[in-house]
Amino acid sequence: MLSATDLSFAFGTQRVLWDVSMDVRAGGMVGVLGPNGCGKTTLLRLLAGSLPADRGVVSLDGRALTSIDRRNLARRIAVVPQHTHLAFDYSVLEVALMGRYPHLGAFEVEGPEDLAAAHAALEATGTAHLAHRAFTTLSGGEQQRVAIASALAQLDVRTSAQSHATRFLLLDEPTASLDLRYQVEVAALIARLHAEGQASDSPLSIVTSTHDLRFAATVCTTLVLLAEGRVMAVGPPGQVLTPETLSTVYGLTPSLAASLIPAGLR
Amino acid sequence: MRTHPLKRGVPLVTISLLTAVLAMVAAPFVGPTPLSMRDVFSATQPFADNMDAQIFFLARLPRALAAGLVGGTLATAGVVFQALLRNPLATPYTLGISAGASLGAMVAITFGAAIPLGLPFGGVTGASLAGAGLAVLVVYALASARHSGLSTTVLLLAGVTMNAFFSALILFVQYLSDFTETFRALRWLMGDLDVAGYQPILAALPLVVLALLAFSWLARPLNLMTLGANAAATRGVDVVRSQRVAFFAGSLATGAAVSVGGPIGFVGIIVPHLVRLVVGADHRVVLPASFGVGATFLVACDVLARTVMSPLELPVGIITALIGGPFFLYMLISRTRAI
Repeated sequence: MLSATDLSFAFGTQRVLWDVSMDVRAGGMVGVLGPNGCGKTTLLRLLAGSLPADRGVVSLDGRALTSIDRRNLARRIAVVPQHTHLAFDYSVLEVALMGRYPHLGAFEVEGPEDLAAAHAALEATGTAHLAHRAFTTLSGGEQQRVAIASALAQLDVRTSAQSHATRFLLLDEPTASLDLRYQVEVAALIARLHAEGQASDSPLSIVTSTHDLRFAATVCTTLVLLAEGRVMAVGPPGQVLTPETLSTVYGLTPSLAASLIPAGLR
Repeated sequence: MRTHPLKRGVPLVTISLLTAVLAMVAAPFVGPTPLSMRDVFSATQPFADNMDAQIFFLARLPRALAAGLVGGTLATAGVVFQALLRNPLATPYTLGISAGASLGAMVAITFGAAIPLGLPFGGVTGASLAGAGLAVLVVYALASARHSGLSTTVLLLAGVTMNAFFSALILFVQYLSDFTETFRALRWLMGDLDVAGYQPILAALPLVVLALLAFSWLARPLNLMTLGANAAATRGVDVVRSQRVAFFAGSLATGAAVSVGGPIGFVGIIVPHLVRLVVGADHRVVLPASFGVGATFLVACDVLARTVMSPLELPVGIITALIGGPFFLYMLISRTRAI
């Protein structure tokens, strides 16, 4: 289990998060919602351990992230950022292989298992046919799927001793900059990865920040609604996505908020 | 299908390094005085009487070796700085290291006679290393002052500022110097490989080897750092340590190369760019291949510098600038068009 207890964080004097607590259970599918600038990205970075909290603790199976070796941590928790910008022309396969970094020693070269993991991740995200293309020449939707593949390759622990431990995939607004078709595609991919993760020996937990209420309502099992750095509501979608919470958090009229709630929850 | 992407790189690296060795051995045969291979390597003639062997081993070979060492070092340092700054237009001189080295050399040339500097490797070489060191420390202090790692934005701005500031100091020192000193200083600033012996090469070699060892450790972290510091960190890269090693090892390599040949321009940007076009972006291939191609390129440029206006010998920096300036502009234009 990945849990955050009373997290607070500030960039300089700018407070971003106040006393945020949340749990991601083994096999959980958590959606983080909230207006722009409410601290979703910062929360994900704290959960991944790539940013140290000012106060509060993030722990993985009871151990504080700060006490876990960064390579061991990277084999358990992978992050897909909102945008992946590459300064140089790596091929899609090379980007997927970058996920294998925490599995290799300083001067070790990727072996057959790492190649297999990278290819499996490309298969899973439907990007295997792009393996030899330059990453920078892909469309936004393709780049997003390759970024997910790189994270999956990173979490591929079939050959290590940790093969029964829960893995955590954190995605930062994975559909934000995509057109309708890719939004649907990437959302379906995340739902499928989660379902497949439940069937495997080492469950896959997914945390994704999103603005997509339909995705949050239909795919996620737990929602965390943030506003101005504080948790406004936590729970199953039916409890979190109510006209009251949405109108308070987003500053909408109650009738408009009610009309935005996906049909299944009304 | 399931072949490792690195496999393609191994023969390319081997070829580039072999070409560099060949270039360094062949270059001394070219020049105003033609040399015959049979005389140079003659076993019967004693070295003291063998003019050909003396020209080969005492005059031209050190120069070719210096060109190879400096060219390879600047090219790999360019690769490292481009990855550190995540900018393919960065050069080993972007952060002000060469300006610092130049200031040190200018001070040694102008005031060296008056103040015994007591530095190793002769006054000018030592002073240029000290100047490079000063620039490195100032830029590092600025870029790490308010960050846990190194801010690439602050690095770039601090580097640009240091370049301008040191250039002003160089002009000031020039103003204070007499005609012969100014002439020597100007020749140094042009970038010249007229090393006159093996001593400067042997002095720089340990520094370069140390930097190259660090580069070999850096190759994989640099790959991941082109994704950005955050993405690299979530994949298990110790970003702060990798940035520090890249910054200091890149600076060490640059400082050592500049102390031998002066601020020879454009090698550190042309070569990495051309190498990436052929071998891809993986630093485990780009770094060694850039060393080979950079060495070959500078040896060839130096042969051109020695022969194109023979018997006059041009400083090699003029040749690399004449080739590199237009190349850089072409790169800039073709990249902006792509954006």
